[in-house]
Amino acid sequence: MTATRRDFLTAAVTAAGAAVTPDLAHAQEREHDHGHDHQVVPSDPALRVKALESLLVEKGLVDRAALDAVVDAYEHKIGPRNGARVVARAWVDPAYKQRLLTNATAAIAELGYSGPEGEQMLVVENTPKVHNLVVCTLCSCYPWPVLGLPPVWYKSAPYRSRAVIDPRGLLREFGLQLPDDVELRVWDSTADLRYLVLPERPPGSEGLSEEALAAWVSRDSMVGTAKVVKPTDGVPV
Amino acid sequence: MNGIHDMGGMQDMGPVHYEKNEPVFHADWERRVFAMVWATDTPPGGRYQRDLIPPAEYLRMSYYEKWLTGFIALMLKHGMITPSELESGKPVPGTRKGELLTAAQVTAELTKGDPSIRNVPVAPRFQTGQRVRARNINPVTHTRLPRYTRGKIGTIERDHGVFDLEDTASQQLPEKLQHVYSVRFDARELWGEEASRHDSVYVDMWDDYLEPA
Repeated sequence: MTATRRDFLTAAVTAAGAAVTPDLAHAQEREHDHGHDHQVVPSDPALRVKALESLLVEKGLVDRAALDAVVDAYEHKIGPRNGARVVARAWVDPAYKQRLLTNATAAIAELGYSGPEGEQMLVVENTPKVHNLVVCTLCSCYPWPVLGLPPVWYKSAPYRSRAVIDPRGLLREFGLQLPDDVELRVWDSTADLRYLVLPERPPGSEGLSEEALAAWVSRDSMVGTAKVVKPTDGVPV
Repeated sequence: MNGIHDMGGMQDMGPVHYEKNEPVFHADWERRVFAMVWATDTPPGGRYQRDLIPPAEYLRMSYYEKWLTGFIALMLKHGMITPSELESGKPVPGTRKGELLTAAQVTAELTKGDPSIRNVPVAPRFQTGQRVRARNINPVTHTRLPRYTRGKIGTIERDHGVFDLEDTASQQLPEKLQHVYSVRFDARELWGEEASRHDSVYVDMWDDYLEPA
């Protein structure tokens, strides 16, 4: 333990060197040495990252155009609209829904969605009697191909800590009051499986096309912190 | 490791801060950190490096600051970059090379991923429906066995197949191919009689995390 902690500090200290600015961990080490009255000021991450990227490019470890392509994909192509299409298809096509619930990875790939953090997918279905909620208490595991990158709240200490011990209180904070007798299943995605909630098709959506239905499906409903409701303005979050 | 990252069941972390219409990234440097971690051919163990961030720092740092810290630590650990390179910003010869991912390769990688399930015959130690106890182990290295489940009794709900155990993979130790199960824990088993009898938590667990109950 001591060795690993020391490794970390060494790493963080040297990382600071990338931007030639005082580093928090460096300052912290000085604090531990006592006798120094340095104020602990974190270095500007923007500067550190710029310096690091330049170094990795010069070393031939990363290609700037590749980084641009990755950013573009996760900002513009891979996001919760993908998951919404999966949900809408399941609502209109019972055979697809069956495949989705028995072999989610393959069923999701049928619609063209696959890739990192979606290699082993599981879809859990909400019903009038069962509600599902997804969390990663240890970190930030999230099904990227269908939901994109997780929002800050999903990765935050309040969400990760409470989802397993006080899920009903947490859901109330999201504005969702579950009836007492509804079974609540919390999925802590701590291993290599990634989870997508299949929300209930809401009343008032009868007769809508698959495309129109997809526009009703919010990201939060596929994490389990919301139900799908008729959107009041535009595409829901 | 019983670090701050293992947050399940902790209390008093405050309310959830929900940002409406949240952007994918909040600053350009976050974009670059995400993409560098995504594209760089590092050995496994990035998560472990993030676990090692000291608790006070972990709680202070934003998500991508943690990624940046863990990424640098991982590359230093494996000699892909050196402290003096970080100091000077100039490459020195003799560091370990990873495979360079080009822009042309990104599209394929975006849909391919890195499936960790292994199509090899390994005998499962447990059967669906069996009662199991999460082992009371406290490794000082990376583990995916959350503290709040240790010593608790659950039921095997589903066998997910065979995967390499993250505890060893994160340390670049030889493969430990084992079944991973979905284990269902009653909320009352985890948190006592105050919890709703209609609530349960499902946790994915490798063979090594479990013993018969």
